[in-house]
Amino acid sequence: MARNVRKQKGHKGETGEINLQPMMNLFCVLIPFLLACAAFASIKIINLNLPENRAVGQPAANTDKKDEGLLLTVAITDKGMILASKGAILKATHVREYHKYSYEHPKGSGKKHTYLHRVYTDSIASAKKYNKFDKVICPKDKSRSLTLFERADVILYALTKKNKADPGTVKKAVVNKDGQLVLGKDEEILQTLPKRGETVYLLPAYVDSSGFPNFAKIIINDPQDYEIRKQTAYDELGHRLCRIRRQWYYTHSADVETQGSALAVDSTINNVIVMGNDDIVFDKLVHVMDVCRNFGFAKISLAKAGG
Amino acid sequence: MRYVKSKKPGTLNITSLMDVMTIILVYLLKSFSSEGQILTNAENLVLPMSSSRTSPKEVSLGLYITYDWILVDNIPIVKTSEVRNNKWISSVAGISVTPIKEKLEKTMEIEKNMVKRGALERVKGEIVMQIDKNIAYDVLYKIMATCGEVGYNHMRFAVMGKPEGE
Repeated sequence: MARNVRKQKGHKGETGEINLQPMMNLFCVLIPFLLACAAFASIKIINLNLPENRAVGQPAANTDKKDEGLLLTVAITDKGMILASKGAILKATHVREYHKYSYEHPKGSGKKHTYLHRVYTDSIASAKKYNKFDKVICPKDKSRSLTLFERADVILYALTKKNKADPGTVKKAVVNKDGQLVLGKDEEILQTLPKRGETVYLLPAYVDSSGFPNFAKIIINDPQDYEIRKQTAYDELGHRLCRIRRQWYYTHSADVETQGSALAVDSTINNVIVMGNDDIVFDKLVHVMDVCRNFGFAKISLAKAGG
Repeated sequence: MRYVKSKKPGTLNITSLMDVMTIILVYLLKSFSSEGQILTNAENLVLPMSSSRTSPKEVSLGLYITYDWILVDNIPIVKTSEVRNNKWISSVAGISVTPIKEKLEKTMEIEKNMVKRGALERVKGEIVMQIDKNIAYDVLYKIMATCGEVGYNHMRFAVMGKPEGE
């Protein structure tokens, strides 16, 4: 009987589509609502690793020299960045600073222009050009100067300098399509495009704070996939931090194996001190902290140089 | 069996549209944050971009350093340029900024009272700083020193997160 009924239904009723209209109505309401709610750029937090309960400026009460670990320090000044650790200083990264302004001209018209303003901080090589505190004149309208609110970005290019008086030339860097830096056989950042069949390494974009930073080994298939761009000081810093981390793993590989994790061997492995002088803008500081965090140095302390 | 064409006027085939809609819906639902925003961006302030993924978890005292003023708890306290020019530096040894210190001591007092009454478990000393990206480290350092001196040792910086997936 029941079988019959089902059969009949199947024959009688059309195999029509489901009525999707109510669902469509629902979707049409839901999607604009969710779009309105979606936060595409949200505020995030940077945690600092500061000493507990003592005023800044006073020496720490019980400094145990053994607990200090590597004491990896990134110092930022107007002239460049210096990476140092206990008992060693790497060659300073000299920088050339550009401020990228994004301004409207005429004012209120909504027409956006960008202007790259070179900042001269080196008074030795170019005494007359020292313009760090000068007002930046709007290139389209000489009567007004650009404000700090119109400054969109601070760009730091890494330089090679032969000697102190040398103004330096901007270093190059080879990147792949994902923007990852390409390293040569000597693990230095490549300055020229690799040839077909050449073996290169890729600098990882992110290193887990508990893992070994692997350089992916690749053999160049098509040099067209790579391009040359200017090297920034952050590129160089990241590259150096990554190599320091690798070196640490090489020398401590036996200990890491026996004790399980890198943190068990040295609890300060992820510590880094970021040091700046008076005039460093917050933007640079955050950028350096980002680079440190991306390469596994997640416990960041702040220090101040001079003054 | 042959399909018999109905004589009704043809309807719009919305199946493909549904597919698209479903994908958009799922994507938006995924990016939908039910927590809402704990921190709101202060006016007159451009936060720097950062790749940090840590989201603010709880509400804490806010300190804002804009280009003109330094605000604690949304009340303007001192001018930033005055801090830069060492106008309010109290003593030779200290580097703390007096008006901010006084204000922070008051909020610290409130927090301590709350602990006494049992509203809080302990004095947390947490402070979130929203700092304009063009502020010099000198100002930042003095303010941080002030916070540390009063007892706000857990300092955090608010930054603009990059959109997910980048």
